[in-house]
Amino acid sequence: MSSPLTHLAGASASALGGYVARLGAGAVLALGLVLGGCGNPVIDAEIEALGGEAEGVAPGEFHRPGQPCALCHNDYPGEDPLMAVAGTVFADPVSFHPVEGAEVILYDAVGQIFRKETNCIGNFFWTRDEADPQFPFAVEVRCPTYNTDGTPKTDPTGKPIFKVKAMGSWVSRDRSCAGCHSLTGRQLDSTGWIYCNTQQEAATNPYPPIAETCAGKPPRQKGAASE
Amino acid sequence: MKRRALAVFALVLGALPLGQAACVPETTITDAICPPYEDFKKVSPVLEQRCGTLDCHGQVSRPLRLYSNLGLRLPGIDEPENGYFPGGTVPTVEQEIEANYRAVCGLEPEIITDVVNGAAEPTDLTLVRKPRLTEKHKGGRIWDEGKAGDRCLVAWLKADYAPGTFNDGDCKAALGVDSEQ
Repeated sequence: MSSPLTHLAGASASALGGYVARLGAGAVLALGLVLGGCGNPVIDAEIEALGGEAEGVAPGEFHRPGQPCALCHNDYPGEDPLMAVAGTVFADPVSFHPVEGAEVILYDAVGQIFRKETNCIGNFFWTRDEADPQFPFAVEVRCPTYNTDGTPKTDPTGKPIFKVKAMGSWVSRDRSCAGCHSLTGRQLDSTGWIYCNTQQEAATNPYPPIAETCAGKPPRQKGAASE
Repeated sequence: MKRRALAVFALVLGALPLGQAACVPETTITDAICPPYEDFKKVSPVLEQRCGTLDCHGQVSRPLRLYSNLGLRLPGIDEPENGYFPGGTVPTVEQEIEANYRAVCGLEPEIITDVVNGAAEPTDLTLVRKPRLTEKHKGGRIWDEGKAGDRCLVAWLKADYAPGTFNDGDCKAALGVDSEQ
């Protein structure tokens, strides 16, 4: 058998030019493969599995409620803005009805406290520019409460009454709340999505419908977790 | 003809490593010795709390895979509908602690055997180095050397106590049951 090098030794000038061209094309292809190899196929597959945007919802603060935000908004693949922590608060464990105005409070490992309110589709997030919480951190959600007639509950001084839901464990390193609080509901490896009401509380603390002006849409119903 | 010669050459080449492997002497299989299981029950809650959250070692893909009420649940025990899910009403069950014990002991079985026998130091174990961050650890520093969690783990690993008599004061302290965190 002859090697490419022995071919090259006996080649004419034109054939040599062809060889160089083919070698060049090969080098470009190899470079492409090497550069392409810098990606993370596991994360790529997870992002792919999320599917496209909901119809009529543009990428932004109201998109993809309940999905693991930092899967994209992270160092890899680097979707702007990079998120420090992000998630979504829903009304109960059986629906994807969002809760607007819930206060998410994060207590980090070095004593910093961060607060954020959920928007009309239940999303909340801290960009890396606004917060740099140090892992591990504890999180609690202060859910707004409502009377059965839909008016906000207040104390005698007129201050709104919140219901506190605190995490039983801390967040060790995932910037996406949905990394553990997945939309699949309660499983052996997921505690289900973040919610304010138990099923029993849903009637006594009804959350208002999504504002008509809200630019987001809730996730599609994919099954219900039990209470 | 040329193709057949190539195929034979490839076959011979492929068979070479097999032949070589057959020449490797049989290894002697010995039992790994791990610190007592009954005392691990006092250590497991510390690992569950500090290492076993769903976003760290509470994942099936981890070599040190930890099960608990605070994280991943062991399959085949109960159903999520009955409160058997991360953070649910069912506390960590015995089978989960046993699985944690196997994970801890199975990480570096030869070295943990040497540690129990006094032939190696606890710091020879990656299990001790990683939480101290003296070895690269994606989860960062969990505790410094000499802190309650570290003392709890290291003392259990040294196994210089009669089985069942391990003093769990440091483990309780690490869990925040006592004053020291």
